[in-house]
Amino acid sequence: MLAALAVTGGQNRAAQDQAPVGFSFINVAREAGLNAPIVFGGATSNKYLLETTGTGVAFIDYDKDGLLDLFFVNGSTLEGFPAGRAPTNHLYRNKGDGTFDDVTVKAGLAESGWGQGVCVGDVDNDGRDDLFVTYWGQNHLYRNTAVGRFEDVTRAAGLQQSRMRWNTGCAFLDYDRDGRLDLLVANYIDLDLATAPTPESGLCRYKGLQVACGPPGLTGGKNILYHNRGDGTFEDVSEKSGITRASGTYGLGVSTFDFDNDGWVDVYVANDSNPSAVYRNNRDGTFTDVGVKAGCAYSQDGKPQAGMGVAIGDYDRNGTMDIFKTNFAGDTSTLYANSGEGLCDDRTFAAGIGMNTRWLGWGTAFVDLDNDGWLDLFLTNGHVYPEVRQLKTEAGYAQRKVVYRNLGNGRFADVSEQLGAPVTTPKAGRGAAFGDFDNDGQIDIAIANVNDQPDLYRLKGDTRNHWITLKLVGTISNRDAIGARVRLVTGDVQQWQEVRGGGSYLSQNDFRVHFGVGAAPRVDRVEVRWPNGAEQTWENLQVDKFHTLTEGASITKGDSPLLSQKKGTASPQDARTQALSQYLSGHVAEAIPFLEETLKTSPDDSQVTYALATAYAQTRQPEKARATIARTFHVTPDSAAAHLLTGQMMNRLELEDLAEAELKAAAQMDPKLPEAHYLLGQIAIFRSRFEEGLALMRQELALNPAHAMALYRIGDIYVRQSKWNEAIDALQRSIWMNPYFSGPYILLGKAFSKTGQAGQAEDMLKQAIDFDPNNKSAHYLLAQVLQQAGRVEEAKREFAIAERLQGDIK
Amino acid sequence: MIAANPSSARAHDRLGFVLGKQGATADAIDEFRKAVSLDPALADAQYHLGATLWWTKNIDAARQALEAAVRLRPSHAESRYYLGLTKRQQGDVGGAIVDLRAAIKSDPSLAVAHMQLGVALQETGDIDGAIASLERATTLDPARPDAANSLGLALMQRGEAQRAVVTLRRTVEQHPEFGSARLNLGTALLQTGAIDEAIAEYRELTRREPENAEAFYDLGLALKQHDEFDAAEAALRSALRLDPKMPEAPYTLGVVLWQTGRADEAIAMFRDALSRRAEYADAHYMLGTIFKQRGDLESALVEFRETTRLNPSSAEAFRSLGQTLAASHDAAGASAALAEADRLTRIKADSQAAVFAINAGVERLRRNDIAAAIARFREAIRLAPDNPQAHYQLSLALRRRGALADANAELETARRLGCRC
Repeated sequence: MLAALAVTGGQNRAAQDQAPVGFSFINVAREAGLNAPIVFGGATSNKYLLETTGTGVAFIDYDKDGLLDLFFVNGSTLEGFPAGRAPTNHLYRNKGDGTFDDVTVKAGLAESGWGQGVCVGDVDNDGRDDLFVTYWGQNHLYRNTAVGRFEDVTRAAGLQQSRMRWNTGCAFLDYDRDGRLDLLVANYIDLDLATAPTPESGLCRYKGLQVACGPPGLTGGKNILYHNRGDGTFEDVSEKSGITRASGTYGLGVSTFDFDNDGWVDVYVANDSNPSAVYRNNRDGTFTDVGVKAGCAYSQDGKPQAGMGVAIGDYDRNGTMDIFKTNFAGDTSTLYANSGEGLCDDRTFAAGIGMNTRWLGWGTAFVDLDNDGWLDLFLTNGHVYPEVRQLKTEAGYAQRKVVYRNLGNGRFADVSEQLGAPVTTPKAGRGAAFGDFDNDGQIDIAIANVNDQPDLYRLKGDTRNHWITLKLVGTISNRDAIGARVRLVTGDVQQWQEVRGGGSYLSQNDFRVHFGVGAAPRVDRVEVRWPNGAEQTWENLQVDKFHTLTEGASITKGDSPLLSQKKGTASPQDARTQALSQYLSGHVAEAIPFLEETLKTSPDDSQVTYALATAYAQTRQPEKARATIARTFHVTPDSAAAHLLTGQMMNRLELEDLAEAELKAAAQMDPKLPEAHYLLGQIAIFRSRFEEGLALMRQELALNPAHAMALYRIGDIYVRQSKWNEAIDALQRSIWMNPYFSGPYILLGKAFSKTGQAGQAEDMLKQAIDFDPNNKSAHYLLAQVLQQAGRVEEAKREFAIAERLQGDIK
Repeated sequence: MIAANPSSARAHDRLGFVLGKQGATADAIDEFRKAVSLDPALADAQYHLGATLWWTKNIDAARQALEAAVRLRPSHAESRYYLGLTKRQQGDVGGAIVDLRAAIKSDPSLAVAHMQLGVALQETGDIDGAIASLERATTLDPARPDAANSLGLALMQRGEAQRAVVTLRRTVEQHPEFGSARLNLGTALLQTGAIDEAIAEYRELTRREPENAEAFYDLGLALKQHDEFDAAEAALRSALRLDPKMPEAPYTLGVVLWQTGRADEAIAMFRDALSRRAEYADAHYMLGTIFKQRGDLESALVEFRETTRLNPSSAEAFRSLGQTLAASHDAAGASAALAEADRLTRIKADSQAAVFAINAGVERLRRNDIAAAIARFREAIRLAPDNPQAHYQLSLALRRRGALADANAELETARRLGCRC
């Protein structure tokens, strides 16, 4: 009897494993126009590990047209390339008809080098997603400007590195809940090609083949954490935040997640040949690597694994974020179920993942491929050593993908063979980004291959099942809502998701949160916990639609939601949450008494104080706003400082009349107060009152002669007034005070040109182009200067660039 | 002849020789003993006695007679050969190598001596020497499959799996019944990554020798590597049944069961492995791992402690022990175990880094950048103070710089640490 039962159970499991998958993939990369090859090291053999790790890819809606665009990082070779022939990164604009345009040059992203990873985030909360690209060498931060162009602001942002580093995976995150995105960058090896052993040394063999050495034996890199100061610059806080004190090294894949569900963003770093890291956010600006202690660092039998990519998701729908890590060939991937008690339970074998050991995994994600409400798994594979092509039955250098279908019972079934091509087509895959590029409710996959063109797998999903996709927009929290957690309820079923920075392998997935909901005709409830901890609820949402959920506002698409009103306040924490939730829901005036009440019990709660001050400002109660701000900064409410702080806040809220009144009061009470005149001058210039603006800027300079921006504003006014010599004087002084801002160089170029100082104009404009190679004004002005100097060919070249950039902008 | 002259040692020796040829080894030995008692200086008798004793597995007695034979006739190749064989069997590999080399010197065409020398050198880790001797043996006597088999093994040891495959495949083609060579061919094929071909060889061997437990075991291992878990399980179960003493079969089967999510059955297999070899550290470790995962911390601790006792260099065993102690709220014990795990891990990492540093130093030395070379060698010594190669290379670099006293001191250290330099 027992035997019969066992057999029956086995048959059931087998039957479940073999059930039709209900979805398929088509590789549409070629017809989509994603054709630029990704170059990375030697194609048949590699001298250094540097040539093996490949690149990442990002989904980013850079032009805010609601369509996901694609950014592929490119690499290099040891031999290098002739000038102008080096492969560059590529940005492809999604045209919405299944095809993409390569807009790399006009977007100002044609950078070469040993590119590695990419992450996306709106670092200045201006509503436009910015890009960060990592390198073996200097990383680049590109600020997304309003005109379809990115500006390389690396140096101005303070992200220059003083030594050669091998930066890999990266992720934006708001670890201190100040509403601004900070940045974590994993580091792999402190690789020095001059001393690293080569395969010819005979020291490094793989199945008898001489291969690139490392990482064991090479010095591991240290991860970096940059804090966003909010003024366009970042501070390296790696040491003081504890990020450098990790158990392991050789970091590759990075993803943010909330490991302990405390509402503060944590980070997972997949380490190669070392214990992986779970950086737990200590909520005080520091992190502790709890990976080893929590059991999320090693294999089930206590061995370090060669971690590459990482996926985060609640595959077992218990409300905790689980971890999936891809590893080396000859080993399994690792599935850690999050117990919710700060521990990882290694479910690799119990879940059926132990059946595959031949593949060497990279990009990966938990993704609901059949929209049945259970997260499936997708793995991109490919061997590190091209030399394994010589081996007869090694799984190969190019390897097929692996797709595991979640059976909903804690187990996964490998359905790769059932899916056929392109899943079973061998490729040397590395980075993979997951996102719905055609907005059909099915998650598609962009894959960066090594020494090959990229792939784009369009998912043709199970149409019997429904879905919902949520775009979260932070207002007080960071704009991308990275770190937000979403609970979705359909009937008895609950699912959880997060908005995450980084993910997969050196890649960035779609920020929009996708849920498969199976046969559910509607979504009963969506609860969002924003990155700052405030909660908001929407009810009764239509399925098979995209919805935008804005922090503090009603849903903008789909059905009208009902804001949940939590009854009773069991604790001060609940009262705080309720007050903030009400404020964030847009009921600003109604929130004020609750916020006031909360502050009585927690007078030092800066977040509530800020919300209350903003609420007073928004309801045009400057006195109360000022009193509240004064309390935060421990200044007297009727002091000049309080007026200045209130003016700054009003200015940020675009309440210019109130701001002007506050700032004038501040300047009147204390004429020597820094910044007041500058801000007043800014408002004056904005309102085209140039002479008044000039006077105010001069007053600011009288207080602070090193105020570079005030000098720049003065220079700008003089240029507008064609007062060239005055402009030159102001702009030169501005550059002297802050040489890392490109604006003054262009204006100076113009001013020198107008005063017949062609040589100096040329120098300035070239300097401006160095800062921003795709600035059409700089190229155009330079072309004019060169033409006037009789350097026709050079002028033509510059005109051509300017024309192209002009055309690009059209 | 003996009747005519019963005190003729040579007569007894000849009689013994005839008896030995007829298979009457006990009587032969009696006759040889009589011969040497009558004339201890009769080298032939000593040799015949020694060789026959060796054939009848009286190793200690054989060595005594053969040593006497060699004393009497040092250039007699066969006596030297048998003495070498005897010494190797007694564990005196160094002595064996001396005698086998002497045998070859006396008779360079003695193929068996080359073969035995090759095997002895292989035992000492002199793989290059072993390969040279075994290649000579196969050249002198191509019909010797055992020499080719040993050569194949030595080539594998040197990482020349492809050449090993060629050698062993030729042997198997010429001697399809030579199971050991086919088994080694499978291993060589695995080393080259030709896993399908390896599985085919193991399958062929299990067809030819359905009672060969080792063949089923190797087949099971290869199938496991190929992610064919059901077939691997079947093969390992056959190995388990065929050889009740082989602990590796239940251990590996336990790993397969564990990996495919059948932890209960895996526990039974690891226990079976331990019943076959009580001090099987890996089996204890796997049991500990499963117990730990199930929350049976007490049992897990017992197994991890036993693992660390049996294998004190296992970082993962100390780490798992530490984690289990921490879960059992033994903070002090956990801290000590985890510290040991970290120490062992660091030693391993440093040792690898030292090898790379030495390599970088040698490169620098080649480019005549002596200062940089010395820095790299010193770095290697800092990482792995007991690495003889680091000290030796540093001594060479110091010598080139003219620091002779320091160079000599480093050379001494290298030699003390086992450098044959």
